[in-house]
Amino acid sequence: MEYEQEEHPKLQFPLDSNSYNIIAEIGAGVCSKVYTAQCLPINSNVVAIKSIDLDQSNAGFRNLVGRETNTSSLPSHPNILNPHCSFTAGNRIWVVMPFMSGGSLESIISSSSPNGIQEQCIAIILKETLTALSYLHSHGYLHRDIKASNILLDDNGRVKLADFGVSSSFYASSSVYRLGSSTFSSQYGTAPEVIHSHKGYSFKADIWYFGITALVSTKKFSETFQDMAASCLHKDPANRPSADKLLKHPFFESCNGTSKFLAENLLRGLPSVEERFRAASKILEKGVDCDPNGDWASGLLLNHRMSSIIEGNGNEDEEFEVHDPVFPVESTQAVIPCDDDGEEQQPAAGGRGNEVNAETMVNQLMALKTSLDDQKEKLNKIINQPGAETIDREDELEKENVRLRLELEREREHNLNLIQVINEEDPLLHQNERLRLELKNEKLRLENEKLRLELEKLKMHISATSNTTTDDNN
Amino acid sequence: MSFSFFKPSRPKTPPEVAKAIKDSLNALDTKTVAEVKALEKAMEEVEKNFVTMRCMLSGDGEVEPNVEQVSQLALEISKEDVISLVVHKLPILGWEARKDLVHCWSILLKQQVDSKYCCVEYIEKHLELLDFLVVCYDNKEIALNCGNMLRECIKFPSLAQYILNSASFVLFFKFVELPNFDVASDAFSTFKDILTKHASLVAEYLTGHYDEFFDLYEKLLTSSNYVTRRQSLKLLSDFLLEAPNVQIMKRYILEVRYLKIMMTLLRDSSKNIQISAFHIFKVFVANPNKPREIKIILAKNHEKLLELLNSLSGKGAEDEQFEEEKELIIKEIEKVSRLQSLKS
Repeated sequence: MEYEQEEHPKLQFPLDSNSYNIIAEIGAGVCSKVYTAQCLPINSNVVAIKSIDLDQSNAGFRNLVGRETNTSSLPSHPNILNPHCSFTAGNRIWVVMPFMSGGSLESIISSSSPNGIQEQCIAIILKETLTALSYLHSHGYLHRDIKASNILLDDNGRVKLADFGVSSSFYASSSVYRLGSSTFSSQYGTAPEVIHSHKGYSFKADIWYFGITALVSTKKFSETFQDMAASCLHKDPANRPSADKLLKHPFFESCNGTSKFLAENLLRGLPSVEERFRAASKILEKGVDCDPNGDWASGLLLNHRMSSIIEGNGNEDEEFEVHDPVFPVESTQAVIPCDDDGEEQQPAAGGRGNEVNAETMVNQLMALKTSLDDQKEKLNKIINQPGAETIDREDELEKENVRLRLELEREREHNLNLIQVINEEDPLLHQNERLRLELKNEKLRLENEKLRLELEKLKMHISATSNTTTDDNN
Repeated sequence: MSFSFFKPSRPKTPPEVAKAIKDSLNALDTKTVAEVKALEKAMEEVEKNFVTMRCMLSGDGEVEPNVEQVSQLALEISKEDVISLVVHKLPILGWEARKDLVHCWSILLKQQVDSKYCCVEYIEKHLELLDFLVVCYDNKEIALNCGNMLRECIKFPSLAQYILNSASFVLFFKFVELPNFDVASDAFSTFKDILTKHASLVAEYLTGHYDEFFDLYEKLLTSSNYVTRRQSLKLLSDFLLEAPNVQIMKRYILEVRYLKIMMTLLRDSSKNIQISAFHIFKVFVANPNKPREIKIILAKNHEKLLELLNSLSGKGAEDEQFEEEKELIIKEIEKVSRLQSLKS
């Protein structure tokens, strides 16, 4: 059996399902399955076939049929997985692609050691991915679905970004796409897929997801890694680097690993793609709950983690408790088609998503408020305590003050971040929802202000007490 | 030209750009296949010129395009027959050049000089270019580029009207079923644009070509290809139930053969198709002036139909309305089935 590679781009792959012999299932989403198969007329070449059920997903159908971004309109790039062909088979679409026997980054993460993948390997994979992204962006395309399960490796450790235009078209109904098209097509009078600007919001959304992907890829990371990921997750898209610029980040500049290195250090000894899929399916069968909102929740969690990094709170090699690293990715994959499923009207689908998001958001804010209340209470207690060991306490209180103030600042920042995330997730967020959130935030700010004033008062109180104490001592 | 490297780089003016494009495209003809190198070089020149055109029309990402230059270039390009040239040369151009061209095409078409769309007017005088683009769907390599260019043209009523009435329009019935999914679905979106962008033009066309059009359309609705069935059915309700087409619709729902198609689709293995079919089927039933033949069919099949309808359920937000409509339709079918006048 030979593996079909891009050395034969002109090979004509047959456009009927009878020409392919399915070998094994290697992946599954809500409306799609991925198989390895032999292409019988072409020397039984091994290919991967993504089979998408059109009858299960209205959004999928709408976006796949009559979409304007077509995979076949993209020229080949060593880091982009170009499908060989696609055709209908019953009520499914088959997308025939080269088989990447190294599997997805997601499956590699889940089947490698519990300590995660070494940063050197991650750096190479991310750099190759970023090269692909930079290429797409320079041609005016957005990927729209950067995630670990879409980053594939072959036996030789070559990295390719997959699912451009195929599964991403599931995503095309998302805000990113619509915002992009409305802004840019009116400005430059071009079709959404030929948007030609590197400063746009939409390109920066890809960068955001790239940052998230980087973050879920590893458990331990260095300072440069943190800095790189943090820049991708900047709350203001304008402040995120372009793919080109990100390639010049020290983290990638210093990375000169090769695919050979990946093949020898990362892929060697890993179970086969098929085995990895079976193992993952088993875990799912056992009933790890696949909450449709899990994606959002993990996003919050990530964002929380990220915001601490952005604010310089992260130490070198700090170990984060990344809950099962497979999971955020897994659920992202599940959520997108799921959300659109059975929803004929796009606004309705969007609306439902927003409600969930806003709900989570409000809960978060409420939790934060409770925590602030707690802290306030603590402070009150401290203030009201009889000043027995005042001098000792003074230092402690001062420290506590600073710590609390920082924490408040950070949490407020975090809130803004969350709002920003929501804004980016869906700019069509109902206005009143957004206002409500902003109101909450404003309230929190006031609370914060109040607390700060109280702290000031406390400080004065302390200095007064300490003065008295000093006087007394004298 | 070979010394252009040493010339001080002065940006070309719009007439110079148009001229350079024209010359470089014409140069493609003079090269024979034997001179591979010469052809490659000529192709490079074309690509270079297209990039210049693209930058002039849409800026280079840093500098915004100069509005005056943009309209001047559009004017020059239509004056110098460059539009014909680029369309005819499209099949031999490389990927980059085609992509640049598609990008420029939409901008050029939209340019108004003295409140006239000069490029659109040029195409109006050279309508065979549109036929050329339609036929290109048969060429897998360039099909998607041509599709993009066609959809830009269809935005203009005069050009859409030409395609609708041209002999090449019937080709779409074939293109939407091409085995290559990318090409077929691109062809379908162009087909859809033609039938939905300018409702009054379409109404006029359908009035004149009623039998011819719906004969062909029947083949799409009864296709063995799931995608064809589903999207043609959806498109049918998209344009048939539009206000300007009300007369066409009234005619359509009198015909037994089309009722039969909808009844077949109601039994499709795909639930999505069943539901789409219901939305057209209901109009046949709800029609207060049902012909006797339609009533007979409904009465004959009423048991099966009721069973089918009862098993059919909407989804999500549409559920309520769907159930309401279903109730009405069921009642109407029951009423028809009890009509004494039909039992003769």
